[in-house]
Amino acid sequence: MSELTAAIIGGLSLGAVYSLVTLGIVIIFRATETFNFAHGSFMLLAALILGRLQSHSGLPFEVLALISLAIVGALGAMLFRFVLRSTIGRPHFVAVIATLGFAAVADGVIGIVFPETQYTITIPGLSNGSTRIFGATFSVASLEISAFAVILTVALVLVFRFTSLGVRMRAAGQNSLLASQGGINVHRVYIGSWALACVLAGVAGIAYGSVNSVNQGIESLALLAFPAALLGGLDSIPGSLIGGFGIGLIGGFVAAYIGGEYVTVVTYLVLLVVMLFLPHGIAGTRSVRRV
Amino acid sequence: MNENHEWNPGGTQQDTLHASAIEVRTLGVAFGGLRALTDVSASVNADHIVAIIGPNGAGKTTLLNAICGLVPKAGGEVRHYGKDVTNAHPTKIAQCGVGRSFQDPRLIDSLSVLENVLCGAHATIGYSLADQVIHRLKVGKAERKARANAKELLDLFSLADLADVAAGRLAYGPRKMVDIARATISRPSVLLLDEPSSGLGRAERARIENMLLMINKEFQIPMMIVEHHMDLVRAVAHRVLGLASGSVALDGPTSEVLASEQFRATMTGEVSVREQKVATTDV
Amino acid sequence: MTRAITGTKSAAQAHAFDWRSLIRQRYIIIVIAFIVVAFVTAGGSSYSIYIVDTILLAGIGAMSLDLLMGTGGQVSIGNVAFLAGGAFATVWAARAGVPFPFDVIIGGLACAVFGLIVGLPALRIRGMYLALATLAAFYLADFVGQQYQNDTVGAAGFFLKPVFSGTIAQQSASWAWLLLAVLAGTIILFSWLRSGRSGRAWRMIRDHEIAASIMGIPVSRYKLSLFVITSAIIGIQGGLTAHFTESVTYDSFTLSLSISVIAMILIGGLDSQAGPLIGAIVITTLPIFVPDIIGNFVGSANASQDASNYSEVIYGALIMIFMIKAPKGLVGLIQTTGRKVLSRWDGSRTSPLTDPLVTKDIPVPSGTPDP
Repeated sequence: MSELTAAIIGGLSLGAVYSLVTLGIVIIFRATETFNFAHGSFMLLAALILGRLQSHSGLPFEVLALISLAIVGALGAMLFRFVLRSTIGRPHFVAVIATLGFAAVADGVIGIVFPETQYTITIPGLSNGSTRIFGATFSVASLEISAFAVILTVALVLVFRFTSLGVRMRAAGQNSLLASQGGINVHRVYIGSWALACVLAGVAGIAYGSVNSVNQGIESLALLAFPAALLGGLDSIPGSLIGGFGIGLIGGFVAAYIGGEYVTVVTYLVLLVVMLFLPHGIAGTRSVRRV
Repeated sequence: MNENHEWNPGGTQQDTLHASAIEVRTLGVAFGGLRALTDVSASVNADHIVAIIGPNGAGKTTLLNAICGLVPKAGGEVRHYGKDVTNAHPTKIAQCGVGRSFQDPRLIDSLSVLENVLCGAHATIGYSLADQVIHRLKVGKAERKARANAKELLDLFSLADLADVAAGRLAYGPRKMVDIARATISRPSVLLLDEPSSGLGRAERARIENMLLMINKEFQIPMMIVEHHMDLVRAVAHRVLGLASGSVALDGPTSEVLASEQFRATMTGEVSVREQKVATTDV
Repeated sequence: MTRAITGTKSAAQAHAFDWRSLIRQRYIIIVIAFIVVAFVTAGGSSYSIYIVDTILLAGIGAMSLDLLMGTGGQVSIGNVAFLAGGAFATVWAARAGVPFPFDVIIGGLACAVFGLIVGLPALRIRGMYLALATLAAFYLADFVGQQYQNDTVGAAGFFLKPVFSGTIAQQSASWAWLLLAVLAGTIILFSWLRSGRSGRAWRMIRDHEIAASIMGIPVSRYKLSLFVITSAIIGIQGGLTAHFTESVTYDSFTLSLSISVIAMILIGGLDSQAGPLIGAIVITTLPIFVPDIIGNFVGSANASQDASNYSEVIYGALIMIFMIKAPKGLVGLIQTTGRKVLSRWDGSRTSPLTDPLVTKDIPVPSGTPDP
């Protein structure tokens, strides 16, 4: 019984964080049709910056969080403006490789600038201690973080669906020529999407890092978010919730019943299976063309 | 097209003898909730040229895409010499002998013009991947033959001295001509051309006109041509099909259609951006 | 801006893809490699022979990745999965008693099958799904390799017996000749595949996938066969590396290894014969110079500690710079400078910018044909 609980609640709890990360990946894919392989770096960077700021300065958490997120968001905007903008119009793989290159640079810089791996992030207001649910133990803080992640993700999904901002982003993503003819500043939408997605990555990184350790593990979250994005539908914003929780649950069950070291492999096998049978994911547009 | 450069339409003998090169019946195409084509019927008979005209966003390119198998259909059918190709895979449709050029000539910039034209001959060059490693002699022979064939075609179109030029260095006009040559080299049984003369000046349009007439008369290839330039339509087309907002507005012999009142009324309309969204597709 | 150019001389000069030069190019490369190997095995230190061996090995993999990404336009970021796959399959075969080089061939075949399994889901869809599928391949290979290693020999990894006999220097020299032969074979095989029908098909799929299918090119089949072929060759590289380094552990196969190979082909130049080799030379020798170069800017103690991090930064930066600014890589840069130099030499006043090839005097046909 406790395994089942651990599987479900643990899975859902992690799934909430995945959803947030996946949302960022989907935003970027919709806007610029690229996979952002640097997503994990942004997550880790925000957490590291916050961690170092917290240990060196007495400023309140909110201020430090804003600073870290602003830095990460600005980096994302700069990445688009100075690197990716020149890849528009060229074959898609150009942009993907550029993000790969950026990820390598980011990882290297992170390794050099933040050699210590012992940062902790404290979020004031997070509860301590743990609780038992149906025989399995969970830290209250991680449950609270997950709740926060879900609320944030759902809020953003609603914003996208129902506000003019969301409509504009959808239009820009679907057909940039028509969108600009319709008066939408497409480039601002692109930069905004990248900045927003990177800020979300930062939020996820900080959130995750506050209840787990701030290290490379955060980056592997992003790597698991790609199968989640595919599962939910690469261009579906609500799909990021489906995919995130789906992958979280699968991981939860695998970890509880088979073993934690199997989680990554199984998740990626799921990716292959999804590609084989449901390439547009659960909620993505069905126009994926077979060649 | 099989290896002997013959098209192989399938269908019964009876169908083949009397069938049109392309016959579209009550075709519908929808993207999301928006209808791009409604109840479109059209046909091209052997040796004829049909021009498809209409304002921007009327669905002309969508019609070509539908025939090529690039868009899912919402009703109706498409037949190629009697054979039902409505839901066939685009590669299969191409291999049956349906050729296509694009509004934006999609050439491989790093390859020469000759190599680009040879891309179009892919299905007719007779050797496999394994052959390329094992049967080098067979490959060499087939390549020489294909190149000679391609050079001959370029010669016919007065493009011979561009043969070894990198496609990326060509101006727009020659690019469009190379695209048409590429679509023609495999002697398709029907050719679909999307705005072959768009963006060209008078002199180049005249060259395109010549190319099209040559393809139709010497190679006896029927064509469906999306066109905006009425002088070209007048010069080459036997019949004209006019589309507006996804439906057929005009259909008849060229001289009749271009003289009719309906033509003047339908074809000069400006379409709003929203309606454009209906029919344009990133293909 | 239309200017008539006289005659066809300029047109003939500006050739893009001269077949004769392509054929000559591959032999020139092989001859140069031969000379280098001969030179270094005759008089070089065992360290420099080792470097040459490493470059030759890297070159094989870089050429495969270039065929996949440069010619075919298919992005693979988990290509290290096939290095690992080839290495572990070779080890398994060797432990089962299969002698060298057949165990390496088994490694290659295993990777061909692996590539088929991984490529099949991804390549039937239009878009960049292969990149994700190769990530899946990486995690799969990493997992299987880890399990196999832990179940048999533990964390220390597998050790293989030396293939050649003699001193270290003599062994390295034997390896150099063997690897030269393999590289030469790969160069020739790939040039056969790159030219002709399949090369055109792959490039068409790379540049305009939809137009490719409209031309009757069976896109999925070509993508899959390309992926299987390159996976097999990378697998062979993995098997050879296993025997060369005489040890195999699962943690030596990392994603940053994949990234370094991508850097190789971008620096050298995509879709070129010499490019991957030039890139292999640059990237392989970089870690030798990086600590020294960085040491000049930073304290030397930190430099060697952070060498791998600095290497990452440099690979990533090179990838971005070359991808954005110079997609044709060093080969392309050499070609453009060469062309500029040549055009200035032959006395014609036209510079590449104003030399249009582009526009000719178009004869307007006389008489209007009737429909």
